[in-house]
Amino acid sequence: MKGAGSAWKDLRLLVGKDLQVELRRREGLATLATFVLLVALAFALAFDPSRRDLSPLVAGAAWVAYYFAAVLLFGRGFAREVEQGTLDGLLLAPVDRGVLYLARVLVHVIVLGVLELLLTPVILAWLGFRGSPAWEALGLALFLGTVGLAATGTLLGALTASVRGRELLLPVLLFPLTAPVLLAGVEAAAAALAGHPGDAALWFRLLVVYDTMFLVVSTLLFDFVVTR
Amino acid sequence: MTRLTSWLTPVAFLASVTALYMALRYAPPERFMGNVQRIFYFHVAAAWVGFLAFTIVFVASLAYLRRGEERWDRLAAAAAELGVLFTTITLLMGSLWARAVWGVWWTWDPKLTTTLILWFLYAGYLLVRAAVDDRRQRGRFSAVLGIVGFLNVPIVYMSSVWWTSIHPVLRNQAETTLAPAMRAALQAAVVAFTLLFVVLLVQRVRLARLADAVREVRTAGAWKG
Repeated sequence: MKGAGSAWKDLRLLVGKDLQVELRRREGLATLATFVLLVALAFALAFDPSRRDLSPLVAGAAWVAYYFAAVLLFGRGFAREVEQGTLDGLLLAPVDRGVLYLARVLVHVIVLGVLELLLTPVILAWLGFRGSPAWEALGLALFLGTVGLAATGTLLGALTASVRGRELLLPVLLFPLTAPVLLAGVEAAAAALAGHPGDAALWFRLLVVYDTMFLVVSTLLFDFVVTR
Repeated sequence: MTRLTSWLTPVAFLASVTALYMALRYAPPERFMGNVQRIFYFHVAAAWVGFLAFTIVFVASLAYLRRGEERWDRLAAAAAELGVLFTTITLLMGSLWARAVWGVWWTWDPKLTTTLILWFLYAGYLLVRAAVDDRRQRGRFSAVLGIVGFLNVPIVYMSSVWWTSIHPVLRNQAETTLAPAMRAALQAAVVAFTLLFVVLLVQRVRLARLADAVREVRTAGAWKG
């Protein structure tokens, strides 16, 4: 067992490495962003914002788009490591398995966070959102929900990385486990968009409880998922 | 184990016949819903058994990760299979009852939402088991899912309670007090389904153990030959 300072250094190194990989493969991020926009476009075409007010539906539509993008992102990381054999290298390195997990969660949160920051205004515009949202609360709702998705999704991404049929298994497993995140995330974001985030205090608290619980449990269980 | 099932099987059979009689004849028809309310006895019993099964999956998964013994993995797998089976029965019966009484096949009541999400969770658990060939890896993966999934249940339930309390509820199933005859019929159904579950569980675990033994003999033979 190493000290906290060394674990912190490992975490920074791992996050830096993964972010560098993501940045060098810019097409990966561009594809994710395009995908989010396509889901938003599908919503716009299906529900036609020029004929009815979609403002109450915008929070749900945005979350569905980010949710799908998150599934694609979680499935990629570890699978690539397994294919290229770099996971074995990581596992051989003297790094705590919990740190390995937390680093990947952080990378997923950063990537999804950037997407949300860039694309939420576009989704609002495309779906014809009218109203004055509480921006900080909206950001908090998206952030807490994304942490919850990443906490569970990173564990499941590692679990399914070497399993056949992983592209289908990951979403099938992720959905029931993150159903509370989707529910709470949509309710919190909807309240923030309506300008009354205080109405959703319960949902914000639920997200915090979920995030804490799954980060802790997954950190403890991660070792069993990557050991071979 | 075989001695246990040799007397438990007839006991479970007798209990099931008794429960059927009590649910269909002994208990009076419900005042408003009539005979269709008799679904209730087996619906609740199946739901209880499903939850019992998933609790066993959780405990067996913890034991497997601690000790790494195959038998805990076999127990978790058998309980998960039966849990999905009984949860399917719960959902189908509930849907029939809802159609007759509420006029809809489905409603997003917290109990229904939670049960449906549970069903998806453990169906996924079985899919993972089917997709992984290495036994130790399969054991570890499914144990992790068995633990995480079970811890998720209270959060799912809480969130669906809050969700429906904010949205309009179609009709709330009031917590009414049961007539003594109805309570007795419910207890009989719960006892019968629990016994049936134990019989099936023991047999399923035995079958898995035999299958493992056969595979070991086969690989040992192939090694020599």
